[in-house]
Formats: sequence, structure tokens, C-alpha cells
Amino acid sequence: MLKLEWSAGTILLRGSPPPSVAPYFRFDPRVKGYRALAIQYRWIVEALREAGVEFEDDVLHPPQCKLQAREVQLRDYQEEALERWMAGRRGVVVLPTGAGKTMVALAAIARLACPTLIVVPTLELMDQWEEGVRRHLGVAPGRYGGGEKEVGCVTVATYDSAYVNAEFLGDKFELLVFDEVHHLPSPGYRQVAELSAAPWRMGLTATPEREDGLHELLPYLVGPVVYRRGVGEMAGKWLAEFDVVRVYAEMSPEEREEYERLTRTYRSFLRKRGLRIRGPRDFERLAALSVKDPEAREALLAWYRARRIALHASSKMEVLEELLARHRGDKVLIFAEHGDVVRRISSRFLVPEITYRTPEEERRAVMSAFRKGLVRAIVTSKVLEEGVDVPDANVAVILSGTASRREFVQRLGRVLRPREGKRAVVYEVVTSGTKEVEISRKRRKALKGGQ
Amino acid sequence: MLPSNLLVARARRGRIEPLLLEPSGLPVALASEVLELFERGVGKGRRELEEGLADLEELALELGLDLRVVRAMFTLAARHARFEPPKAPVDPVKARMEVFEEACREFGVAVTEEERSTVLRRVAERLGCSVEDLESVLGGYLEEVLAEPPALKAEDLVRMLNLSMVQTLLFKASQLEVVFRSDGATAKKLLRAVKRLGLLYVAEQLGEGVRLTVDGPASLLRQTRRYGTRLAKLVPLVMLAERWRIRARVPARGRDLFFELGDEKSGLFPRVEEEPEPLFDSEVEREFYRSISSLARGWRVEREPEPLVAGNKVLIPDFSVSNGERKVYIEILGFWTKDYLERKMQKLRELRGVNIVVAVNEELACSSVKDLPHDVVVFKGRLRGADVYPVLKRYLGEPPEEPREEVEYRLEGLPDLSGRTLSEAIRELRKLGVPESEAVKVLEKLGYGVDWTTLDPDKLVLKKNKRR
Repeated sequence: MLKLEWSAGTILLRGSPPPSVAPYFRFDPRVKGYRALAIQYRWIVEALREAGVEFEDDVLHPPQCKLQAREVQLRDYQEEALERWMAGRRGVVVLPTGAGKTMVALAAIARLACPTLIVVPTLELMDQWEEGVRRHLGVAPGRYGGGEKEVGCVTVATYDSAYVNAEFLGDKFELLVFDEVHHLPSPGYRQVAELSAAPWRMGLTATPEREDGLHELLPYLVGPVVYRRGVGEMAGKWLAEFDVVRVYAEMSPEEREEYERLTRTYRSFLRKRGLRIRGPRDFERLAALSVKDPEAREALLAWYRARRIALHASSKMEVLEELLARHRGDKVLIFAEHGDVVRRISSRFLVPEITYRTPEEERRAVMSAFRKGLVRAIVTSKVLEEGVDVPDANVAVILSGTASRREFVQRLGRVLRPREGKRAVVYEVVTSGTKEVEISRKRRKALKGGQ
Repeated sequence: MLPSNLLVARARRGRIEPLLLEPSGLPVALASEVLELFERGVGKGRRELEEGLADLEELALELGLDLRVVRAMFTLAARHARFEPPKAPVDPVKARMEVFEEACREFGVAVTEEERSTVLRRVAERLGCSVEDLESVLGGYLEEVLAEPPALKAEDLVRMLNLSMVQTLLFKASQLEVVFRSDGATAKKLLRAVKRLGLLYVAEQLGEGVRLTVDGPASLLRQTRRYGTRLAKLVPLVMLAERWRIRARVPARGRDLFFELGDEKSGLFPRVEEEPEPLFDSEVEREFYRSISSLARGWRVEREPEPLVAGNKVLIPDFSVSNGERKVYIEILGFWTKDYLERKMQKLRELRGVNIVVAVNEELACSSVKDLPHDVVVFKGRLRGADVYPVLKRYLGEPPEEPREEVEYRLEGLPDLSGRTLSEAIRELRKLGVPESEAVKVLEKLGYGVDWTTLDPDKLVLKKNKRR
């Protein structure tokens, strides 16, 4: 009889493949069997059944599971998202940050009551999902990542750890949940999906689109977008009402002079060489040029320095001081681009920071103190952008940021968790008369398109 | 192995070559300078140590070397140095949290300079330290400081650098071809490493040597760099062979580049005997090793013992436990189903003359524990020595007070086995009372080399090692 076996991220077929599944397999002379990527498992099984072929199936080896179906309370749009996903048990759910994507996934796990791997980008999110699984599914999940290696019926893993251990994890689960699924298509991480035999897959994100276009792989890796709601559609009822306020900072005369000198250097180089910078591609070419060409290097350096001056104009600290004075009683998140600037703000205003350099112990202490209200402001770079639940922050200050719409939407999302009568405010601090005004205009487009 | 931005390599006409330096002359002089930085830098943080690199980078440029070489040497040397946490006046995390919470309690956020100093003064008083101590904890990261410089010779640092360059290049490789000729022990090490790392190979005879083409399970279906890091780990073991040559395929920008290296360059590399750790080594195995070793002191416990020949397969069990000439193998299973277990037992039974105990985790079982085949030990949680001890004793008898001498087999009348296959040799030995499990060891003792390059015992040909 035909037999399907698990083999380190792939499926081995013993016997010769019938025509209905032949396209999935290649003969592997190393083991004298036919091999397919694990992601094809579901299609292979379906095709074999449809063709009425008998076969033995030894692909999945899930841990013994005592997951009991539970009822998870959902809001109407969450319910709608879940039903759409349940139709094929595959696909991506797009909801704005703060709209409770997690609940949709937890409800799906409860419905299927099968061994599940949840993949998340950061350790913070691991903690948060663990909490969610405990509360809503009534089991303690296994943790895989950050030095821990423990498989449970429900297991939460980081993308990094799931990538490294794909061969080991790929046959243990029937459902995969990818949080912040826009990470998945990158060449390394996509193997987490490719080397897993789990037939059911859910992706969650506020913004699936990637600048490199790789989101086109999502239908193959997890399934198509099955449900989508934008931030604009939801504010007021399911998300807090919010205002986005642009505050201008002025450069000091010295900064202004230096900024203009650097910008001139950069521009005159481009003119001289007849170069035009229209997008990231052109910019990469300039960077490549700078390796051998000292003039190009100087121009590039000038561009970086000018950008830094705009991002960190000294008066931004004064603006921040004013804003913080205005919001002493509120819960505030401050976003800045560079680690050393974050550190300076932390030290000057005595608010804790969270960056990728913050030790685990301190990070947990800070988050817990913030939840309890023992501290009411956090300054951070990129770490807090994704998914982390900061329950009732209502003010965000973007002191410096990029043009990325995703970054903006995520930062915005951090203050949109709804509460009775809450109105959130997001300040963008922008240095007037610089490129930064343009940057701010670009990222604000996110408010219209819902992406 | 190095971060990929420190790899110095050059692609030309379809080939890629990493920079390899002679362990003499200029490169050694530069390496000495790097080591000197560490010698002088005891008590300094890493960043401060790195400040000295700018001068050396300039020196490298002047000498006509790539300046990345300096940072690469620094990175490797730092790995062999010992750093320790600096002596802080206060526990940094605790002190910082105190400050932040005090500020919040008092002012919400310490907006003015004045409010800021008030907070610091109060917290300093409470913690019994100075305001300056708090400032230092708030202002910068407390870096680890150098406690002990690396105990390395400059020549060795250059050799390590060469190996690291090759390995870093291989991170991006999709396939590695190894041609080698070596004694059995070295070949076995290499094959064991291939297994431990979850890689696959095809072996072919090539004159006096063997060619292995190594990649991973998914390589057949995808051009993937997934296995690059693991392929890189094989390189030091290949270099232990008498004669060797490697050829790697490195995909870059939509085409394949090739990298080749052979034993004529052996002098450029260090001799590293360490075998890679198993990729998915479980805590279960480590703990079991500790507990069984202490339980039965007279028995000899070996992790991943010699390969066993089972039918046409080679199998490396997790442990062997021996008492003199008597020996039992132990195989530990985490996740399992009854079917899987039965197949495993079936396969193991094909190993005639070999005793195997399979230990299975009850909690990770996918099927009922009842009616398990003989010699299966069921455990809960972690496997402890005590769980298998009774079964082992049945095979091995009481542990002796002192470890016994190894048995000497009487081997008079054994014909010359050179050129014979392993299967034939095993048959001959069995006639003289040597169990199959001991055959390979005895053969190696007699000076026969076995190249573990095919997994088919009917094709494994023995030869006398020249060395003995």
C-alpha cells in the first residue's frame, strides 16, 4: 500500500505516486523514495482521497491533546471574520491594531480544538499570547523561543525559533496561526510555512502589503485575504476616536545652516552625475556606488547627516517637554528613531525605555509597571510597534519616524484600544522646512486607505 | 564563523574565493596587534576596546589587506576572551525602576530639570548611593568588561580567521561536495555529524577515496540556504582527513558560484576535533546520561555509540551501556505512535545479537501504552536511570565494583580480511564468538579500516590501515 511519512520538513511517499499527486513529488535518489514539501500535505491527501487511492498516513505526530472546545465571546465583526476563515480554514484576516485579531484566532483554535502552533515576532507577544491562551482556552501553552523549548498542545513560538526548528515542529500541529503575518514571506521565515504539514492556517495583520511585493506569496503560504477592515471604518465604535496632530519644531540657526550645507552637497553631487533618486532602488544604487567612489560616499554621508539633523533637531526636546507637561496625567508612548536618542529622553524625563537592548528582566518590569499605572510613559524605538498590548495608553508622540505607512498604523494602533469615552491623540513632531514634512505626508496616507 | 558583513570574498568567472591569509609575515603581525589590544585592555568594555581598531584598520589598508580582516580578527579573539559584568554601585534594573516609579508618583513625568533632581536625590537617599551613581545607571548601558584576554597565538588567530572565512562563505551554500580519504574513525565522525545535523548525503567511490554530496531533505525541492550553517559545521571534520577536497555551490543573484578547497591548503587551517552538538538534542537525553552514569558506576555509558548495521541500514542509537563484554543499547523516543514504535522495534530486531531497550515517554504517546512490545520502558516526565536499571541489569548483571578490563577475544584462525566486505567479516567473527555489536570495534582494534561512506554492509570493504 502507498504510504506517506514525515521526513524533516518534507513528506516521503513509499510506493510510486499515482498520477493525481505525481506533480507534487520528485524522486529522491538519496532515500529511494518520492519527496514533496510538507506544505503540500493537505493537497496530496485530498487528491488521493478524491482519486479513491488507499494509503497509509504517518505524516502528523501531534502531541496528545486535551484541548476542550470552549466558547470564546466575539464581537460581530470578529464573528464575521471567523466564519469567513472557517469556510476554507485557510487565509489572512486583516484588522486594524486594537480591533482584537487575537480573539479571532483563539476562537478558531477553540472551534477546531486541535494541536496549534502560534508564531509571533517578539518575546513580548509570546507572553501576551500565552496569557490569552490560558485565559480563553484554559490550557498552559508550550513556549518555543528565547531559550525555551517546550512543546504543548498549543505552542507559542517566535518566528526565529520556528525557523530554526522547522524540521522538528512541522509534524506536530494541525493548525498554524501567524501573528503579524507580513513577516512570513521573507526568504527565511517562509520556510516555517513550507516545512510544516499543518493543513489549517491563519494569518493575522493590520497591513499585509510589503514594499518588496513578497506578500504575493501569502495565498500559497497561508491562504488568501478572507476578511479585511480598515482603521477608518472602525474608529468610534470598536476603536477609540482619535486625532492626529502635527507639531512643528524649528531648527536652531546653526542646525539650519548645517542642514542646508549638507543638502547642497548631496544635491550638487546628483546634478553633477546626472543621477535622480526616484525610489529605494535608485538609492540602493547610490549606496553601491559609494563603496568605490569617495565623492558618492561623501554625498551619501551628507544625506544621512542632514536626515539626522532633521529627525533630532534640538528643539524637538523642547516640544516634547511641552507635550509631556500637557499630558502629565495621561498614559503616553513616545517613539523615536535612534537608540541613543531614546536613552537621552529616558534619562532626561525619567521615563523607562524599551529598546532591543533592554534586558528581559527590565522589559517585563516596565511593562508590568505600566499596566499597573506605576509608570505612565514609555519611550521606545521599534520594539513596541508590533502587537504589544499597552492597555490604556491614550497619547502617542512620534518624535521621529519614517515614511512607512505600516509603522505609522502600528504606532497609532498602540493607543486605539477602546475605552468608554476615550479619545486618543497622536502627535507627530516634524522639523519645519525639511524633508520630514514630506515623510509625515506620506505616512498619513495610511489613514485613508486602511492599509 | 563571522557575521556576513565581515566576509571577504571575491567572485570571478563563476567561482567565489574567500580571502585566506598565510599564518606568517604580515597577517601574523596584524593578528599580534589585535591580541595586543586585548592584553592592554583588561577592565575595559567592548566598545572601548573597539576604539583601538581604527588605527589597525588603517594599518591593514596600508599593508594592502582588506580592512574587514581587522574587525574579523577582533570578533574571533573576543570570543576566546572572558568578559564579566562590571561592578555597579547599585543593581541597575532595580535602581532604574525605583527612579521611574518615584518620578511618576511625584510628578507624572519629571518635566523640569528641577523635578528631575528632586527625584534623583530622594531615590539616592533611599538606596544609599550617590546621585552620580544613579546618573551613570541612567545614562549609559553598563557593558561587560574584559576580565581575561584570549589565550591565543597570533598564528592560530590567523588560522582561525581562515576557517571562519570559509565557514561564513558556506552559510550561503546550497550544497557541499566532499571528497576524502581517511581512517575509519575520522570518517565515522564526519558521518555522525551529518546525521546529527539532519543532513542527507549520497556517497560514491572515487578511486581510493569517497565522494559525499551533502545537502538537506528539502534541497531536492527548493534551492535553499537553509542548510548552509550546518554544512559549514562539517568543514573542520573534513579537514581532519588525510586527503580531502571540498566543493560548494553558493547561489548568488540568480546563478551558482562555486567554491573549491583542498588539502594542499591544510596548513592554513587549525585542527578542530570537536563534533557538532546534535541539532535537536533533548534535555531528556542529557539528564538521563547523568543519572544512569551515577547509578551504575561500574558500567560504561556511551552517548551515540558506534553505528550498528541493521539489514541494509546503519543506525546510531542514543546510548550504549556495557558491563565487560555485555552490552545493551538504549533508544529514547519522545513523540510516538504505536505503529511507529512497532516499526522501530521491527527494524531493531533485525540487528541480530544486539540488545536494545526502547524508552518511551508516556505523556507524549499518541496511542495506548498497553500491549507494548517487550523491552520497552515507559517513563513519565523525564527518563531517569532508575526507570531502565532493572531491565539493564537483566542483560548486564550487577555492576562490578570497579570497571572491568575489556574482554579479549581469542581470534586465532581469523583469515586476512583485507578486501572483504563488512558483512563477510562479521560472519567470520561470529564463528569465533564475537557478537555483532562488538565486530566493528574488534576490527578497528585489529587495524582494519572501515570507511563508513556507504550504508550498505555488503559494499563496505575493509582494508588494513597503514598507520598501525
